Amino acid sequence: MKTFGNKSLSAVIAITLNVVWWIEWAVAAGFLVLLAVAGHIRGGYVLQLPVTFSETTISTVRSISGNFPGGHINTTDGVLSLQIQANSPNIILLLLGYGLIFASINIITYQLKVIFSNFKKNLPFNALNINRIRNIAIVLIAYSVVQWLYTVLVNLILSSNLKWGHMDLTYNFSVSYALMGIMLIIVAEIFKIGLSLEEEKQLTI
Amino acid sequence: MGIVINLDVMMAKRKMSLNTLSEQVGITLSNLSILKQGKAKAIRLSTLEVICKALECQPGDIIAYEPDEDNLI
Repeated sequence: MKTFGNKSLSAVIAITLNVVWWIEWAVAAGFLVLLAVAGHIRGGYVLQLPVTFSETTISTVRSISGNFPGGHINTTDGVLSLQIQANSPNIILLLLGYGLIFASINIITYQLKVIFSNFKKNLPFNALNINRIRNIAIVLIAYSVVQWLYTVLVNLILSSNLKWGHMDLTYNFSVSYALMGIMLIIVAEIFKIGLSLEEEKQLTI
Repeated sequence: MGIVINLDVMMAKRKMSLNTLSEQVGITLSNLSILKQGKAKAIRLSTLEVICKALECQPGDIIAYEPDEDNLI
């Protein structure tokens, strides 16, 4: 199977990405409905955060402020479950957090969709493709940074509101996403060279 | 000015249209037009050969070098 053009691997990927993009929007809509229904029926949400801890006998946490009553740790899979009320500030925070994750994924999917559509039209070296690859790189690097900041912030909030044994959220900076972003910046530069070679070839009589 | 393409001059001398030249040399009209307007970045020797054959001329009749005014002493 050829790589570019109609009935190629790029065409298959372009169609797949198009479907994935629409599925993402459907999932987002479904999530919003579930969020509204759960908030209305239960009056609260359960946040589940992955944590690492050294004392395996801990099964509950004590809230030292009124913000997170009824915290519970599942020591089998290391998940901290916290109950929060379905009030406006919490809902806004949840929407903001999940919204950012969705936006990152959706932007990347959209850029890839358009890139592979151009590949399908046999236009690999295209100025727009170069910009789109750069956009994906920026989103990946920004996501790494935001994820790290989020981990630090959540850890600070939990430390000041809950009492437990030695417990910490992982301070991992997601190197893989950042590295992928840097690699894509390099790929964009290579595509730029390809574009100039393509233009020179087109103007060679 | 640099490299100057005098294709239109030779075509006028031989009373040949761009369409006719395109058919004779097997190069598309758009590419010949790019060449005639001096927008081409490069020309293959094989292309130069077929054009010279069709116009019965030398490469120097089609391509000339004119120094930039800034470089003149």
